[in-house]
Amino acid sequence: MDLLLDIASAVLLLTGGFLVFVGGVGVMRMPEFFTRMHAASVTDTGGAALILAGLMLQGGLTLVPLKLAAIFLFLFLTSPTASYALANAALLSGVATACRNQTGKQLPEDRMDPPSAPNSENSLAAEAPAPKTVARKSAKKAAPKRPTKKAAKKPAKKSAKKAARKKS
Amino acid sequence: MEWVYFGTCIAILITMVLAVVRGLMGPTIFDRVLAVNMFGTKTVLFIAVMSFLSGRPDFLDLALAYALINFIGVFAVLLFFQSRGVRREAEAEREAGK
Repeated sequence: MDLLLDIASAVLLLTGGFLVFVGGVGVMRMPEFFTRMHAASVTDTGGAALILAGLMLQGGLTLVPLKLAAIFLFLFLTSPTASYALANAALLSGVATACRNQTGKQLPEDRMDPPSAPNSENSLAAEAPAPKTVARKSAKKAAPKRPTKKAAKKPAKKSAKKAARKKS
Repeated sequence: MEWVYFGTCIAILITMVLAVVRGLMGPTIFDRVLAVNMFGTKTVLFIAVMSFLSGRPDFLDLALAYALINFIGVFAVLLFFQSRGVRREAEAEREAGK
C-alpha cells in the first residue's frame, strides 16, 4: 500500500514538475504577451494542482493534507483572478493589439513585442492594414482623419506609407 | 522518495530562473507583472516541496502566507498600471487645453 502511494505521488510530482518546466520555457520563448500568459497559466493550473496532489498523498493522516488543500483552494481562486486582471489591464492599455493585425503572413517586426512605447504607434499601425483591398482606402482616409490629435499625426502617416509600400 | 522531491525542486527552480529572466527582459510592463506573479506561485510550490524534502511540514504555513502576499501584491501593481493610460490621456488633454 505504501509502495502504491509512493508510486502514485511520484508520478503526480514528476508530471507536475514537467508541466512547470514546460510553462517556464513557454514564458521564455513565446513571441507575444498573450501567448506568454497562456504558458504561465499552464504552470498555475496543471503544475500546481499535480504537485500539491502528489504532496497530499504523502502527508498521511495529519493536518498536512488539510494545509495543502487550503493552499490548493487559495491558488485556484486567486490565479484565474490575477490572470483576468492582467489580461484586462493589458487589453485596456492597448499593448496587446500590437500583434493583432496578422491576417495571413506576419511581418517580422510585428512578430515580437515593440521595444518601447507600444501605445501610440503600434496601435495605429495595427488598425490600418486590415484585408489587402481595404488597406489602401483606410490608410488614405486615415491621414486626413487624424489631425484632431496632435500626437497621432506622425504615426498615421508612417503607417499609411507602410501600407502603400506593402501594396506595391 | 527523496529523488522525486529533488527533481521537482529542480524543475521549479529552473522555472523560477526563467521567470526572472523574462521579468528582466520583458518588453512591456505586463510581461514583468506576469513574471512576478509566476515567480510568486512557484515560490509557494517550492516551499511546499521543500518542506517535504527536509521533513518539516510546518513550512506549509509559510507557503500559505506567500500565496496571500503574492495575490495582494500583483493586484496592487495591476490596479496602478491599469489606469495609467487613462491618466496619461487626461494629462495630454490638459496640456492641449492650455
